[in-house]
Amino acid sequence: MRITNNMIADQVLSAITDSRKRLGTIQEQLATSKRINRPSDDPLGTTLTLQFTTATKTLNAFQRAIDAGQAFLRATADPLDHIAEIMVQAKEIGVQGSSDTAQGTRGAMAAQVNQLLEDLLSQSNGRFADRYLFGGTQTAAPPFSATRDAAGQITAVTANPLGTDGTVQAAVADGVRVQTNIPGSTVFSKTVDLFASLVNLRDSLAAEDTAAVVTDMTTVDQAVTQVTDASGTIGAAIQRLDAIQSLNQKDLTRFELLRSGVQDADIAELYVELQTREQALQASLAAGARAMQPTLLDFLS
Amino acid sequence: MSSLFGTLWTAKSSLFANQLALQTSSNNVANAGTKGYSRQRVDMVESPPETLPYGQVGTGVTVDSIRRIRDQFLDQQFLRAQQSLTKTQAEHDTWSQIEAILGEPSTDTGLQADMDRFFTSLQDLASYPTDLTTRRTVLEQAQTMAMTFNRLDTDLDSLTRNLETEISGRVAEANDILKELASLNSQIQAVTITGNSPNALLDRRDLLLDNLSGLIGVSRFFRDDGTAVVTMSGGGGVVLDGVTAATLGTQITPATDSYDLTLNGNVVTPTEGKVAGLLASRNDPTGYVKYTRAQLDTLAGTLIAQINRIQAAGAGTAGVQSSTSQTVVADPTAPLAGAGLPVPLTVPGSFGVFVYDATGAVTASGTVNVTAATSLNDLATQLNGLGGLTATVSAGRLTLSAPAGSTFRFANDTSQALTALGLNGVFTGTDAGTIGVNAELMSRPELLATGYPDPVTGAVGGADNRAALDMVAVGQAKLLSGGTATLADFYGATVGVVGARTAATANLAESQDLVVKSIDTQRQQVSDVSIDEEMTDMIRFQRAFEASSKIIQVVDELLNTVVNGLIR
Repeated sequence: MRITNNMIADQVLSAITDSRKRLGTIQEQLATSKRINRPSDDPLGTTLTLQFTTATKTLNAFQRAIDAGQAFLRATADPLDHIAEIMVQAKEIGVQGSSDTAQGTRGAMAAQVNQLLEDLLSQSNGRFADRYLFGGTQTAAPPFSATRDAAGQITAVTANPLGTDGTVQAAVADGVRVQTNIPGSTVFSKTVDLFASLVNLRDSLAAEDTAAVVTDMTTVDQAVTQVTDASGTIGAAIQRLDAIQSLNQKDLTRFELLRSGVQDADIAELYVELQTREQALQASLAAGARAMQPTLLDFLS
Repeated sequence: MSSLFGTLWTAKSSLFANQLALQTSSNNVANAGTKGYSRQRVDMVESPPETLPYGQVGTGVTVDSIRRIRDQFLDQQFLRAQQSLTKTQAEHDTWSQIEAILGEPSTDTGLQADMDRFFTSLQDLASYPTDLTTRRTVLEQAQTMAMTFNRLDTDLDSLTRNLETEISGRVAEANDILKELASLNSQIQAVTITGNSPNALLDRRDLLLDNLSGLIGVSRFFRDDGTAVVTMSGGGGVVLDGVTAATLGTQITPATDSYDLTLNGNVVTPTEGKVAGLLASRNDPTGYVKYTRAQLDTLAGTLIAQINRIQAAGAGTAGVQSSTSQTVVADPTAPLAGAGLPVPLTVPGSFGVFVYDATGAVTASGTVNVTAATSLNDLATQLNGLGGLTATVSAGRLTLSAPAGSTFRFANDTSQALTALGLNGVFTGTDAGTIGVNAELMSRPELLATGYPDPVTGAVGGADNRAALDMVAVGQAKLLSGGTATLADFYGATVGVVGARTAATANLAESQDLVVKSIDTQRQQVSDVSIDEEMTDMIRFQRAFEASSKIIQVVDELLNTVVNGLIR
């Protein structure tokens, strides 16, 4: 086999170029600490990386939606508890008022119920950061407004004519939506009208009409159940969101691990490879310098 | 009969031959680094001997020819290997440019990141539908995403233009080579018929054939008169026959949107060489630029249609004052169902319209029916008939406006007419190149739909987030690839394909490069100049020259003996 000077030069050059190219790849991976820097580095890995990245971002958005939903639900839970207390108190007053021994004290009882009614109205228009809690989807205007007589007593409470029955949901996981509000209509007028029940009880007490008080009592009783039902719904929703949130958190960790496994470079391994490649480059440089140098000319005198 | 003069003559022939050999070695050394040069050898033969009564005696040496050392078979192999390599390299270059344009994987730049941000901002909007800042964020993200789509489309379009420029440049190069080859053919023919070997011309022609083959992929054979006939690989036609060179050109075929190579005016498809790779990069509808653009167009088109469908019949916190359709309908009197709208109509279908006064109370409402026969003008007539809205058709576009102080909203569009016409959408345009964000929404973010009007009363709840949730769901729905891929999956798969093709062409080019290198090494073994060899030869010829000189000197002395010694 003839070996010519050009062949040696070409071979040396191609060996050096090759070494430098491999060294460049390792240096890029070290600099970015990523194994995949462009799709062709690992096409399937790239697709997976993109999937995991999107999944992570989507999960983070779900978590934020859950936080927002939880905040609103918790803000709703407090006034609901309070409303339940109001109704329970009204019930106790009603029990006392329906007994014959209460003769003569029913006026004071009526005043107490009136106080509870005012309290109920104010709770029904409770707000969380500018949003009315019981407005359904109409959160910008007070959901309930009272009609008062000349003495300033509430005679009736009407709901927002646009409706208080709108539901608001949050997307909290892939394909999962959870209701994050409880519409005013569900709390205040689902089977019985809370306001009307108190107005009637107050009026019956004031009129010393025991029979009517007994009738009103059944309504108030139903109202208590209605409110505790609503409380239960809220509690269940909060718990459900908690559960979903911790599942999401697990998914987040899992996806981050998966992405890292696919995309991130193994630094220790890269350093070892870098060293090997560096030695290879130095070797081909040294070999090239020696192989290209001598010709017969060096030895002819 | 032998004589001293005969010996002198023999020595002289040696001087001449060895001096010529030395000159050839010198030429070899001088061209040791010249590309395409083949080393030359002086072929020496014995001169015809003189027959004497006691036997034959030699009369010296003559030079038979000066021959270049070259293996035509290796040349042919080299052509074949190299034209495949240059084609693959051109294809790889295109794929890797597309890869660079996409710029993935990236966590914060690139289309994937933009789409992620758009959908997560929508998720935030669903949590806070009444918050104006969140609305603005959604629209800003939509704008950024649209601009990324536009940028990708523009970059891919310029890549197409660059490919065209390169193709026409390479074709011009090939034409120059063909002209020079034709002229070389005629010079070679002139020398060959005299019986000599035109070594320098042959070297030049072989080099040009290598270059030409790298460009358009050719094979060649040689006629007895030394001329070469060159044909394009894969039966593409004769590009050079003797002194006749064909003219290559390019042309655009608008029907198929392809950029084609022509040979004497007829379209030919090269199968090998750089130009073949470039043409495939430019024209292949299932790969390279066209594939990537089509994928992005599908992605953008789906996104536009899906989001706009929700927006069109959705309700923002404010009603629409006036809206003009984005799609231009060529004939306003023709049925819309057959007008080739970007989104197909569902007929028969309908959509509701509600008109609100300044306080938000509904003042007029109605249902617009869309059938297979409904034209744009029919729609306008129906809308005008509702009372309270003015609908006009101008230049193929429908404009709807509410009286001053009033607003309107659409509801429950089962006909897809609103999306198809591009009325009250989030996005304008139909594909990656044209996608943009509706300017009305950019200036009035409260128009962005978060809920839906009540289909019966037209009432709108500010905290109603059903439309926002539906838009979020677009990001998670399997809308593409026959219902198997989400928008993100689809894009991810596209990036995967680009990456896989880039890697595959790189690997192919690498293995083809090894083949080319190995054939080239074999060629070098045969034809390349070795300095050591030339130096050895030089010494050989130098010694022979010296020895012959010595013989002349001896003969001279003998003659001297004869002439001067005998006279006395």
